[in-house]
Amino acid sequence: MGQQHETAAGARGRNPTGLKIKELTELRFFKGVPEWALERLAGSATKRRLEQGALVVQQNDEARAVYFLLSGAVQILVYFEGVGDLLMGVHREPGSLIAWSAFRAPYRHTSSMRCEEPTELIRMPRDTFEEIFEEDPYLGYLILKKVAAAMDNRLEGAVTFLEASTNPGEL
Amino acid sequence: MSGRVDKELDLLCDSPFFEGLDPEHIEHFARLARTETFEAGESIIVQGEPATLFYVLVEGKIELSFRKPGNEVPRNEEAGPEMKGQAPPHIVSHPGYPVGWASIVEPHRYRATAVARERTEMLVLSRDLFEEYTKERPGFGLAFMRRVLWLIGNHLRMTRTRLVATHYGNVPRTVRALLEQNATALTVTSPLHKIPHYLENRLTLDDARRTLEVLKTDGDEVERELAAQIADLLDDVWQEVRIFQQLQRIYELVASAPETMSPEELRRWSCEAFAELFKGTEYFIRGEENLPDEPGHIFIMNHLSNHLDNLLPNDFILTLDTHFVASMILLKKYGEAPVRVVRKSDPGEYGHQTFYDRLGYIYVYSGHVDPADNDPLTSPEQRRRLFLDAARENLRNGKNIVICPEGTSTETENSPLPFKTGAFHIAANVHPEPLLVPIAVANFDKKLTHTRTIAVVHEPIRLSDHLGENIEGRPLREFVNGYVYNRFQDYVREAVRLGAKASGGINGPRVSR
Repeated sequence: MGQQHETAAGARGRNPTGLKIKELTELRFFKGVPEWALERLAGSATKRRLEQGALVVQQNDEARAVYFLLSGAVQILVYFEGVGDLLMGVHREPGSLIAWSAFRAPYRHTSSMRCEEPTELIRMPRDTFEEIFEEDPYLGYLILKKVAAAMDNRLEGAVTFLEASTNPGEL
Repeated sequence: MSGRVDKELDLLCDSPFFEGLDPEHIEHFARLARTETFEAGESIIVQGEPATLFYVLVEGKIELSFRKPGNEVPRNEEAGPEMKGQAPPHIVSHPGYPVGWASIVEPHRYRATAVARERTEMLVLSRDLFEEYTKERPGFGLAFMRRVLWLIGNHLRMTRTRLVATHYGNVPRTVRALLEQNATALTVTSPLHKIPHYLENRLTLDDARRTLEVLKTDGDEVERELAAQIADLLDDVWQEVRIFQQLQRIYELVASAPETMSPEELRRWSCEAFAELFKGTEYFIRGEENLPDEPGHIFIMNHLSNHLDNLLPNDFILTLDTHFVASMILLKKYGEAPVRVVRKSDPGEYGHQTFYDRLGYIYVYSGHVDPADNDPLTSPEQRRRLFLDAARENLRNGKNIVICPEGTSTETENSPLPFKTGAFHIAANVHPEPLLVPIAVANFDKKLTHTRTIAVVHEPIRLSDHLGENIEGRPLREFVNGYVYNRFQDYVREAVRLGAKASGGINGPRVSR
């Protein structure tokens, strides 16, 4: 596709200085997360600005990080043999978790993510989360509950799409 | 540990969802779980309602859909399994399948409706049990939540695959899509890769079923889960496989029957086997009170073409409508299988000939004359006489005869076609005069798994009541293609309406009178 996307070699547009804790606490996902963990996450996080059409992640690539949307819009695309890329939805809500495959074995992206417009994202490496989970499994449980809720939200979108597609009048 | 807990522990240990969890934790929940039984049609969870309970399928079959109970859409042939305006339901029958994960995940509202399709037993665990145990054993909570993510991811993948199936798909393509979505986790040597190929041809459908059955128990984690998902996706296909295999067995039963077996015995065997096949389908019979008390009559029916899915490997199709009337109506009423009038096989139709030769049916000859035919009667007049003599003899011996006066078959929507007068000639030339009993049929040209077949018996016709002694030539033709044909048109339309009233849907009554 020739577009910009994360590779195993690392993300482009990396901000090596990390983020401030405050930037994370502004995201709903991190409400209730203790400061020590926020500090660890903020330290390893990077902010990325991508142009319209850039790929955030590509389906089936190894998922080494999770992403949160700060601004802009990201399309969810799923490739099917003989059909091509199918648009499954668009993330627009600032603060939403948009790529969670790093939390789930076999740690491969199940869809591609493409910027529909200029977009700003936070990238957090999987390893940081895993370290936190090891230190405090209960916190890990609470964080994964939030991830589950985000996935559930994605599933709801897919169901709505399925229902609409079987009822063309609603499309 | 008690036997009950052992059973539940086995179930949870074998469930892909609980795979990887510490056996100590699984045992804890096996002890706390209770079982609940749901009757066919009963709701287990309802979309949108508060979710507090998590279920694991023990035994039975459930239908998962994105609709609330009462908002049913009956299936029909045109819509097929992927119904317009309705996301297709997902049928699940593999033990260990988890239902109601929304009880674990905020906002704790069930995402789907699960209804028992047959008597179903579920293991029930409340959310509180998981939460309390997680406080004591946080390591469990983390591992458990990873399994929940795994489960939601599977649902997401399945929903996307069904979306593709709805838009683009036949079953093999859907399965291909599902495998492809799991390509990163599935080994390249997995037998699952054979499944789409097996599904391309009905002769290898059973190989697909067997492969999936083996993988559901003996595959690795990914294979077990995918095999179960695919098997559930193919629920309708398995029903079709069963029907096709039954048709194959019926054919073999007749074609390979011992030489010593009489046609009468074979007809009975064949009819009993067909009755077994039809019992597993949805059908409706009406008007049996119109059947004469004693046998020895002519049953005239419209004749429907066959769905190509029923084509046997030797290119022979067993007609379903006539076998339905013979097995489900006449055999039941009179205790013996009727004699049918069938078209003489064309050259090369060895399957047709092998089958019907053994059953002692009465042949009528179509246009061709086969020079190699051993039948010494070659002129049309001689053949006609042979046909009338054979029919007369059977009627005099108290046998019922089934005739389709159209001389050909067509789809329900175009039925009936104009009638030929042969059946009526027979009636006019036998003493005592047999009754002509009309039976209208509908939907036998559809897939049996997607329709409700209909047969309606109507009031018998005594030819002499209408034509007196004037039964030959033009008056007979006018009577048949006027009075009789017009009535039959109404009869078939009525049968079609009854088929459309399949309000019971897939869970509806199998038969009523």
